[in-house]
Amino acid sequence: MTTQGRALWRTTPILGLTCAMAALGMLPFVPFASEPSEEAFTLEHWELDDSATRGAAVYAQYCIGCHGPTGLGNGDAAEFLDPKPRNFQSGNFKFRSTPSGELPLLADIEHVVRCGLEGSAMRRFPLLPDSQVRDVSRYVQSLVEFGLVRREVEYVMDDDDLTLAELLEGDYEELREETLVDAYEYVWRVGMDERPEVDEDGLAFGRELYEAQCAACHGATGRGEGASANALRDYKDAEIRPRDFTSGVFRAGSRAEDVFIRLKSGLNGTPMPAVSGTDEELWHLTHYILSLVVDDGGRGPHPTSCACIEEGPAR
Amino acid sequence: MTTADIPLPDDAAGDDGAVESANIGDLVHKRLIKAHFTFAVVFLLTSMTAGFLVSLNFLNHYPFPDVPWLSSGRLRFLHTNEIAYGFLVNAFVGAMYYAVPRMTGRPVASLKLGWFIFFVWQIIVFSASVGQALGFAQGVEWGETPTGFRPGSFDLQYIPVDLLVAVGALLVAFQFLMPLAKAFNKRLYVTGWYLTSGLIWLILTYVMGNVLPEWGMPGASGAATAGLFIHDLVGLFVTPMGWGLMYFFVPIILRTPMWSHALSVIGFWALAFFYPLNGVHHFLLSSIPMSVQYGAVISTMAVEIVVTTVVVNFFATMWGQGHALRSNLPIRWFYTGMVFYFITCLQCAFHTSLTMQAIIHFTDWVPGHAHLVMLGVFAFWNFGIITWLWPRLTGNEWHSRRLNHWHYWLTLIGLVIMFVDLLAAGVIHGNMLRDLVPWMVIVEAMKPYWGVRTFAGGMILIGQILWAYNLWKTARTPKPYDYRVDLVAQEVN
Amino acid sequence: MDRIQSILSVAGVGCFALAFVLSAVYPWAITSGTVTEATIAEVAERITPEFVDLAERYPAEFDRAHPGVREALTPQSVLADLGGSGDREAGLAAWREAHAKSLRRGRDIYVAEGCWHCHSQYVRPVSNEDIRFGPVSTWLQDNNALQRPVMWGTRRVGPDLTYEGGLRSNDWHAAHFWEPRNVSPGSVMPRFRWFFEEGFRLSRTIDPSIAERTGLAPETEYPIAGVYLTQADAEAARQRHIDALPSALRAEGERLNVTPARTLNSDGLSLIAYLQWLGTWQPTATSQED
Repeated sequence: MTTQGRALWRTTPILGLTCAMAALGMLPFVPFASEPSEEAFTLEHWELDDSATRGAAVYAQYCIGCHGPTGLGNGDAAEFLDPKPRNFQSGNFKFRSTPSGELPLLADIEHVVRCGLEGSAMRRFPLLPDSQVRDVSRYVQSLVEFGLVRREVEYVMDDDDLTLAELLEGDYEELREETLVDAYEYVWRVGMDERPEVDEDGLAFGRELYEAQCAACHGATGRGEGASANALRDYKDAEIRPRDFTSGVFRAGSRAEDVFIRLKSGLNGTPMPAVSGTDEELWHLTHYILSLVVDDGGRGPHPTSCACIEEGPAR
Repeated sequence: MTTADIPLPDDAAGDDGAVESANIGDLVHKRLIKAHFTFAVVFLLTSMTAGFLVSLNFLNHYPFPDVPWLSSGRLRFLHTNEIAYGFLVNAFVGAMYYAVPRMTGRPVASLKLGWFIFFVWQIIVFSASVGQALGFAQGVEWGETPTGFRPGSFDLQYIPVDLLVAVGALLVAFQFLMPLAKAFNKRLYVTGWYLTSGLIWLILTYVMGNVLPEWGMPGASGAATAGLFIHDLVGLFVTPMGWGLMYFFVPIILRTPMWSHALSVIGFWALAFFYPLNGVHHFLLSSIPMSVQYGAVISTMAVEIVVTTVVVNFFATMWGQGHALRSNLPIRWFYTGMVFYFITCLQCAFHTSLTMQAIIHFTDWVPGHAHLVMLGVFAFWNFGIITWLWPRLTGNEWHSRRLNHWHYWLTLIGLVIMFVDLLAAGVIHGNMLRDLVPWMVIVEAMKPYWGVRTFAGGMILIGQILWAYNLWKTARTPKPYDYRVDLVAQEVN
Repeated sequence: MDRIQSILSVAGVGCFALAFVLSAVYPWAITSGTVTEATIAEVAERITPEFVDLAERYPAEFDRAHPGVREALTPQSVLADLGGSGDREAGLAAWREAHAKSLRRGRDIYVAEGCWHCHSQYVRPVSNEDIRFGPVSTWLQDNNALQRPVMWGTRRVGPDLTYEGGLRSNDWHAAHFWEPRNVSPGSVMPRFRWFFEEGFRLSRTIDPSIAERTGLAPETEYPIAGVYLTQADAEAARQRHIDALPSALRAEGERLNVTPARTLNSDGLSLIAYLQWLGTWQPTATSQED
C-alpha cells in the first residue's frame, strides 16, 4: 500500500493530463475585450447612467443575439428572422403609448420586454426581475438616444468639417443636450377616455369607420388581404404585412386597451398611421376589430403569457 | 509464510456441488470468457468516451457540433446503452461462464452456442449504437435500442434490435439455465438463485419496457411502465447479477464462507419482492395516480432494509480480514462498490420522499445518483472480477500491478468528485427552479459544476484507458502467473 | 426439496408479475384504460396557426415537404373561411393530413435527436412550476398517440416544453436551431444544422433613395419568402413574382436578385410543427366519455 501511495504522486504526467483537461473545460469562462474605435462617434463615447450600465449587462445576456452588439438589429440570429429585430438606433418604435412619430416611454419598452411581441421572435421575459427589466429598457432607451445624437454629431462634423476630437472638446455637450430635449418635447402618454359598453350601434359605427379607414389594407374580413396589402413597405423599404385580425394574435397585447392604444398612437416607421377620431370613435373601432377575431376554441391566452401571470397562474 | 506454503485451495463454492469432473477447471471456457471481457472493456471505453464528449457539450466545447451521427444528443444514447448492454452484459456473461460451471459442477449448455451468443451479442450492441447514430432510437430511457419499426407501425426501417436483444437474452438464459436447473435438484447456493432469477427477469423486463410504452400504453400509464422498466433493468437484472457474482467471488477470494446463509436468502427474496414495486418512483409528482406513487415511495424505503441485511452480511464475512482491502485489489473493488451501494440506496430512500423530489427531480442530482449506481457499484464489481480473473484466464502475470492501482484510484476519486459535484449542482438547480430564477441564469450557474464534472469524467476515462492498456499488455506478454501471490492470507487465531 | 425449489422459482416470476400489475396495469386501468387514446389524426385535426405560418413563411420549402397542399387551399383560407372558390373541406383535409404527417415526423426527430433527455414534458404541482411553465399536467392531455412512448423526460437542462406551442415564433425556432446561442446567449443546447438546406432565394435591394434617407447601406437586401433548391427554380419564381407585382411596385422588379440562401428542410419544418403543437391539444368532452 505504501509503495502504491507514493506511486500515486510519482507518476505526474497523468495528473498533468487531467489538469490540462480541467483547463480546457474552463476555457469558456475566459472573457475577451474589444478595442474602441477612434474614428467615428461610437457607443464608447456615450455615457451611460447607472441604470443603463446595469442594463447593458442584461442586454448582453438576453438581447444581443438578435438586436446586435450596438442595437442596430443586426445580431447573428437576424438572418433567420422576419420581421427583423428592431434597430434601436433608428428610434422607430412600433408599439408605444406616445403620440404618433414620437419616441416611446420607458414604460412602453418595459412592457415589450416583459410581455414580448406575440407571434414574433421577440419572446417574453416573464421571470426577469423588475429591476433588470427597468435597467435593460433604460439601456435600450440610451441606444435610441445615442442613435439620435450620433446622427446629429455626424451631421455637424460633416457640415462644419470638424474631427470627432474637436467636436467632443467643443460643443458636444450642448449638442447632446439640445438633441435630447427636442426628442422628448412631445413624448407623453396619449389619453384614454373611459371605455364604452360594447353594443350593436357602437359596432355598426365601428364597422363604418373600419371600412373607411382600415379595409384598404386589412381587408373587409380583417384577414389582412386588403387591395394594397401586398404593396406596403416600412420606413426602411422592407416588406410589411397588415395585421390579420382574425388570428387574434396582436403583437403587443390583445386586450381592448392594447388595441386602442395602437389605433391612437399608430405604429411608427410603418404605413400604419394614428387613426384620427375621438376616443369614443376609436373605442367603437377597437370593439369592431376585436369582433373580427375568429375563435377556434383552441387558442386561449398562452398559459405562460403575461395576462396569465398578471392574474396569477392559470389553472 | 511464503506463497509456496499455501495449499492449493478448492475454490468451488458449491458446498455440495457436483464436482463430478476430474478437473473442474476444464468446465470453464477461458477463451470465451476472455472474448466477452475484451468486448466489455471495448464498450466501456467507447461508452465513457461518449460520456466525456457529451459533457464537453455542456461547456460549449463539443468537438463535432455539425456531424449529425456524432451529435451529443445521439451520443448520449450510446453512453447509457453501451454501458448497460455492451459493458455490463458482456462482463456479467463472461463472469458467469466462470462462476456457473464451477458452482454447479456442470458445463454450460453448449460451447458452440456460447460463441454464437458472443458474436450475435456484439452485433446487437454495435447495431444498436449505429441505429441510434442514424436516428432510429426508441423513446424509452435505457431502452433506446431501435425497435427497427417506423414508430407506431410495423414498417421495417432498420434492424429490429429490440427483437434481437430479446432473443439474445433468451439464448443467454438457455445457456446458463441448463447447468443451473440441474443444480436445482440439490440445495442451490444463493448465487444460483440470483443468477437464475436475473436471467429470467431480464427477458420479462426487456420485453415489457420495449413493447408496452411504444405499442400499447400512451401518456401516464406508459410512463409508469417505462419507469418500471428502468427500475427493473437495474433492480431485477443488474443487481441480482452483481450480488450473485459477489456471493460467488467474495467467499472464494477471502476463502471464508458467507457469514450467514439465512441472511443472504432473506436478502434475495426481499429484493425479489420489494425492488420491482419501486418502478413508479422515477416519475413522482406526475399525473400517474397518486396511490401508485405513494406505493412506490413506501416500497423504496422498504428496500433500504433489504440492502442493510445484504451489506451487513458481506461486512461480517469480511470481519477479521480487513487487511485484504489493502492487499487484494479485487476485494477492494468489491467492498468499495458495496459502500457505494449502501450510499446510493440510502439516497433512494430519502430522495423519493415527495419533499425532496420537488427539489431534486429534473436536476443533476439524478445523473449523479445514476453514476454512483452504474459506475460506483456494478462497474466497480465487474472491474474487480475482471481484475481477479484476467491473469488466471491468460495465465500471464500482470504487465503492471501499479497501473491497476492507478485504475482504482483515478476511478474512485473521479467518481467521488463527480458524485458530490452533481449532487450540489442538483440541489442548487432545484432551488433556483423553485425560486423562479430566469432559465438562462440557472444554466450559467450550472456551468462551473459541469466543468468539474468534465474534469472528473476525464479522470475516470483516463483510469479506464490505463486499465485497458494494462489488460492488453498482460495478455500479450508471456510471463507465468502464480495465483498464490494473490491469495488472501488467512488470519491465524 | 425439488418441488420447493420449483415453487420458489415460480414465486420469483410472481414477484415480477405482482409489480407489473400494481405499477403498470393498475395505473393503466384507472387512466388510459378508461378512455380511448386519441389518434394522431385526431390530435392534428385543429391546425395550429403556427403551422399555417410555416406555409406562409417558407412556401417553397413547405411545398417540397407537402406537395399540393397549398394549392388545395391557400394558407390564408385555412383558419378563416374567406369564401373563395373551390372545395374548402377537401382542402382542409389535405392540410390536416399534412399536419398529422408533420407531427408524426417531428416527434420522431424529437426522439431520435434525444431532445427528451434535456427537455421534459410534464409540469409538476410543486416548485412553482405552474407559474413558470403553465398548468399542472393531467394524464388526459397525454392520452394520445404522440405520447407513445411517453416524452416526459427525466432531466431539465433546457426548459419544460409541455406548453411550447405558440410560445415562440417559427422564425425564432429556425434561428435557434441554426445556433441556439444567437437567440439565447450562454445556452448549452447543441445546434442542429442538419435541419437546414442550401438553396437560392429572391431578394430585393433597398430603394436607393430610401437608403440615402435612412442612412442604410445601398446594398441592403430584403429576402422574399421561399427558398428554392436550384437557381433555375429561383429564376422562374423571380419571373412569377415580377408578373404578380402590383402596378405601384413595378419598379421593384428591377431590383430583384437571386441570391444563395439557407433555409429549413422538411425535417426542420416538421420538428417546428411538432413543437408548436405541444400543449395546444386538449381532449374534448366526447373523447372522455368514449
